[in-house]
Amino acid sequence: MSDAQKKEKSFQSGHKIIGKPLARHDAWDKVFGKTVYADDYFLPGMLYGKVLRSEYAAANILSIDTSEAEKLPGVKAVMTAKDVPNNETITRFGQTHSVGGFEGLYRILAYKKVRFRGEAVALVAAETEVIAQKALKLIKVDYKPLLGVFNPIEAKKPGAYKVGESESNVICSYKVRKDDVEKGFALSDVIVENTYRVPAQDHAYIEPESGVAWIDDDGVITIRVSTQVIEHFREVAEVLGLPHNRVRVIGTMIGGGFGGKEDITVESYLALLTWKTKRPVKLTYTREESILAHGKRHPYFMKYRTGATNDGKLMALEAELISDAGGYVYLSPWVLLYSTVGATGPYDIPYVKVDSYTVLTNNTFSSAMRGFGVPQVCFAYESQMDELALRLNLSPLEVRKKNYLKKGKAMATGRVLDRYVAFPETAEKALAALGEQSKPKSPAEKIGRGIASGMTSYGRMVFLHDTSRSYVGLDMDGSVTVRCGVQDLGGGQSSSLAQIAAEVLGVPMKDIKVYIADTALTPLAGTTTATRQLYMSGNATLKAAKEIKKNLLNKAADILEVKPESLDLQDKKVVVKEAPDQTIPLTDVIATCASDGIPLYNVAQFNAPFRELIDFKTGQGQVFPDFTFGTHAAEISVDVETGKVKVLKLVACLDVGKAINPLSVEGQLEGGTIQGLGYALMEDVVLKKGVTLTPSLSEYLIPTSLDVVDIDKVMLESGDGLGPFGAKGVGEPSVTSIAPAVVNAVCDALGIRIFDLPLTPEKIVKALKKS
Amino acid sequence: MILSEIRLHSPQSLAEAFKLLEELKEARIAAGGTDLFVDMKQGLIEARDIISLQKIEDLRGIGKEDKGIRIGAMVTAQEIISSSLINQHIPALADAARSMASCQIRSMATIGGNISSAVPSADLPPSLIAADATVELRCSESFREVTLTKLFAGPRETICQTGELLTFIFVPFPPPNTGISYQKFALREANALAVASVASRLTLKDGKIDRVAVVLGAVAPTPIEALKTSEFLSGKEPSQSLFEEASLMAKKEAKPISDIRGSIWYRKELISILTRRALTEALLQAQRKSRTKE
Amino acid sequence: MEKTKKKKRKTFTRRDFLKGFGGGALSAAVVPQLLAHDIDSLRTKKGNIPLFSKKQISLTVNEKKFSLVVEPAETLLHVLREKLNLTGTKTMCARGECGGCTVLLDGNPVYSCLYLAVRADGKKITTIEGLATKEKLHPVQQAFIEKDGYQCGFCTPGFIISSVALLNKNNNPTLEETKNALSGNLCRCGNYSRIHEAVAAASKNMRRA
Repeated sequence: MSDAQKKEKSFQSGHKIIGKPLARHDAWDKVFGKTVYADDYFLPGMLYGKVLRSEYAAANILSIDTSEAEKLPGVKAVMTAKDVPNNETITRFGQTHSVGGFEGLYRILAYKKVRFRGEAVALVAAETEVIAQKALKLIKVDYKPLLGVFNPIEAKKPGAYKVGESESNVICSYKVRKDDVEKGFALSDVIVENTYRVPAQDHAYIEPESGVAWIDDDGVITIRVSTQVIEHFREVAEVLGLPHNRVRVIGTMIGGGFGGKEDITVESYLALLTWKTKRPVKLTYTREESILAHGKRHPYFMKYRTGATNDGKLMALEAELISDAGGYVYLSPWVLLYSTVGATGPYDIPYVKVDSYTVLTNNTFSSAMRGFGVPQVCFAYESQMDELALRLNLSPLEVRKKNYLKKGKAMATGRVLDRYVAFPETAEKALAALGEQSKPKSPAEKIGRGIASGMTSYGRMVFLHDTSRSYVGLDMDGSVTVRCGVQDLGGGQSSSLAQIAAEVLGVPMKDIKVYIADTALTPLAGTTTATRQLYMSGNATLKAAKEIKKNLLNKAADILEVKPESLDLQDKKVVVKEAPDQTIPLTDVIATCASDGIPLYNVAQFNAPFRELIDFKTGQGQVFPDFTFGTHAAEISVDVETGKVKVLKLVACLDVGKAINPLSVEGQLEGGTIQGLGYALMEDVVLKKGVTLTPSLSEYLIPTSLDVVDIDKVMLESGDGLGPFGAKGVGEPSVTSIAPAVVNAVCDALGIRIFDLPLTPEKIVKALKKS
Repeated sequence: MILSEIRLHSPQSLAEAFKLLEELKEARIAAGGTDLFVDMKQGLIEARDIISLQKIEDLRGIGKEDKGIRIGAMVTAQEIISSSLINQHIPALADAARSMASCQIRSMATIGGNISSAVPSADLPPSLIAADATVELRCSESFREVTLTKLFAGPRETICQTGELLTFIFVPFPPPNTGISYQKFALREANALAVASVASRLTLKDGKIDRVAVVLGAVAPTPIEALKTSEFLSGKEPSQSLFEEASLMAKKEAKPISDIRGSIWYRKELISILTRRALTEALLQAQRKSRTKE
Repeated sequence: MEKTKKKKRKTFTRRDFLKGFGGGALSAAVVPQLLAHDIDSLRTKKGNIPLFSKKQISLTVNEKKFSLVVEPAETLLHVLREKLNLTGTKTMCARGECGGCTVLLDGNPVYSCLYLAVRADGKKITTIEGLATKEKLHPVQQAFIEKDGYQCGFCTPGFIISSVALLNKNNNPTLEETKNALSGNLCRCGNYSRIHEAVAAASKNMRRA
């Protein structure tokens, strides 16, 4: 189906606004350059903040002398760990429901010991950026460098250098046990064993971390910041020793997040500096600072052993996953859990053994990045599937078709998939969409094709008892206000809420105003992470809007003396479904409701399914609400002399459940695919003994216009998602399987396999020479 | 890092510039600024005084002369790309300019700057050297003409003395039946430094290789001529197997370092591939030219 | 507006300013616009910071002439954002690698983060804010809306300016030419295809007109 035909299909589904490709309401500001991002905001009397960062990856801090810096004219504050009311906190998981067991130390400013290069050691606020920069240079820190450990496999060994203070370097570990895996290998005719390695990936959002904070006469600290989680106001309040309601976070339009603005970035520093100086403070990271000091996608070492029968049926999978958590815990335990649960991929395997570990090292800390541990294991298990296919003389599609999970089947963790599983559908369609194989244009060129399937969760882990709230209100003239704490990453998060309200209340989009991301003024909706916002806030908004609709139709039913079920809302009118020319203007019904004291506003809370923690000894239980299934297909050409890979065709085929705004969904599919392309071919945060060798965008390469091709987006709409109108989340699923698809294509072209990303030209040439 | 505390001097003429250079011995020279300001922001270069060449008209313009083309030091990469003169007579230079960084940089960066910054992976020098280009170094009292190969002394070092300015580049018209090719390899399709590059000039005479130059970029402290390789090729009949042999010789003449973009081994591999491709393309160009004559 | 409160530091809290506007996100966006002309004088008064070596320059930005006193160290990007309050042009890498700071200088696309403001003396600069007229959007802006040529929007001004530069020189670019012209602008949201489509649509409209 062409893109146009798919759009047509949506139009005919009976929805008026859902499923329509609409220009998002933020379009105008963006093309005018009017959107006020975090760094675009100025306040009178504003100071500029800067952070002094450790030059060493592992060192003791013997002393810090800030006296010279403090004396510099124009400097208004210099702070170190001793000036922070509560410098150490325990990493929290979940906004309302704390989960014990994985408590990680988290420091605002380094104290006595630094654990990664770039760790924040001191803060400065000054009248101008230039003065602040000078002040940093005047702070004298006496370091005693320590040995450090830079490889998680080394760090895991007993007797390894201790990254933390009292904690073991192994933060946590998980197991999945499904029967006895050796039995499975005994039943296998073919066993494929390989070790895969994936590097750290940087989010490289175009907008670096940034915010402005100020303190008012009530002592309320407001932080206007580019963030995916406004709920951090709680942590910031605790750092300052304030009640939670004395810190207000306003989320700006974000210039790219991808998980990198999920943890606290500048918030605590801003709060401290404004609290100390009593003046507004702005802090914006430089690009180098961002690459140096913010969390990365976890590097993984993955040992996979996969067994299958001669006719391609998977029998056994044994995997050992070791992730590099870097200097601090952050979200490593959860990323590891996602990888562990996802280690088997979308396949039905009778005998499974997975052991996973996440380990502290003195590298830059690792944390959330789009996919959250799943793209890493997908690279491993999809490479394994192609290796098996080769050994068994089956096509990549055939071997997968023999093993895909189906609705009603259980994952290795025992969780039964209770909704439609879009396999082999997405794989067949993705491969078909590649069309006829291209021909090489020169003798040095070889063409190859590859597919890879993935299953990625959307919605947060169910034992976090996730909730989201949204307010919908109808005004006297029929205009609608939505207030929701959701943050907008540019993925249309807030636009979708307007579409949902418009659909339910029969009001045109132009009459809907959405206010978002203010902890003081909008109901908290939870994080914009884990591909959860459409699912959660969408449902909360849906619930709130439906409540109002119910009240309106009940009142209208009274007026018209009919049953409420026979009425609907359309184009700012109440209509009788069977006789659509029988209408009452919406404003009339509103007026009557107002006069009768019937509320036409609603704050709804949507609860995700609440479950308890799984059994970590066996990995059995439900972890996620639901999954999005998809397959990527790629056709590439390799210059076998230089090793350069050129992408010829890319297909992203996902079951999106329901595309609320097809334009936004397509945007996610494209964006995820291109980020995955970078992961496959060129992105690598190279660290040597904790020092980055890719400090800027000149060394850390991300795809440009010339590196990409148009992506064929094949959206399936099973309607079987948990989100509003049957939608599924796509933000992260769009990135999961693209890297292995590209790698499988390269391996198809060359007849050899490469086991670590990225597939640089040099690696390819080396591998070819070896074979 | 933010720039701070600098004085910018904008002489309107060469004479004024020389005067300033004499007074401010520590001053840095800003042409397009695309190298200088990046280095200053990184803290690699510290400078209080900057002499901007922006207003000096004498340093601009591309002109046809009897024996070749004269290019002012302040001519931008974009101007080189748009110049019909250069596209007609030295298309390899225009190709090299097209491969530089990005559109925006090409609007700002100058040929004089690209040469003077003496970055080993700079895009313009290899094809200029292959084309036998010379530069004028001028100071208040005198001037001298220097072949481009002699200009480079080391990474980010030229033989330019304090008080001297590179004022223009002179590229002689290539002899008849000559092709020049520039081959660059980078890790991304755009906006990336050369991991290795080769420029080759090949002149055909009576079906044999008369004069040839093979210049290697990004694989030594400066762009270098692979002299043994060109000696080997001289006088021989061109063929793929000849070029194969030549490419292996060029590989030996390369002296790369290992860094984040490539290892020594890989850069040498690239040199051999790019040499062969550059020679092949230069040959095609030369053959086309000799055919149009007949 | 209420009188400013007297404080030791002679600064005023945001609260005082907002009292006149009713507070909230809307006024937050308005405040910088209104205070633009005050910010510069505030800055030079702050802590009596001497300017290292000031220069008077004249810039024509979006067809308006401005007379400014700048430090030579200040980039054009800094001056546009902080002195003229034209925050549409973005700081992202500060070293000419990402395109977020692209402006037109005498019609050519340049990285304003590498262009010293003093060197722009006497030149004509166009930023994203200068493309639309009172009557209508620039065709490129229109096309970006229609083709969904943005996601987070941060790279969008840079891409639009680069696209305008391209179409002003070449009114019917091929896809390859478009990609080439835009290869100095990075989009991490991965919206490249739609940006290219927007350029194609804009070029069609511009040729028709």
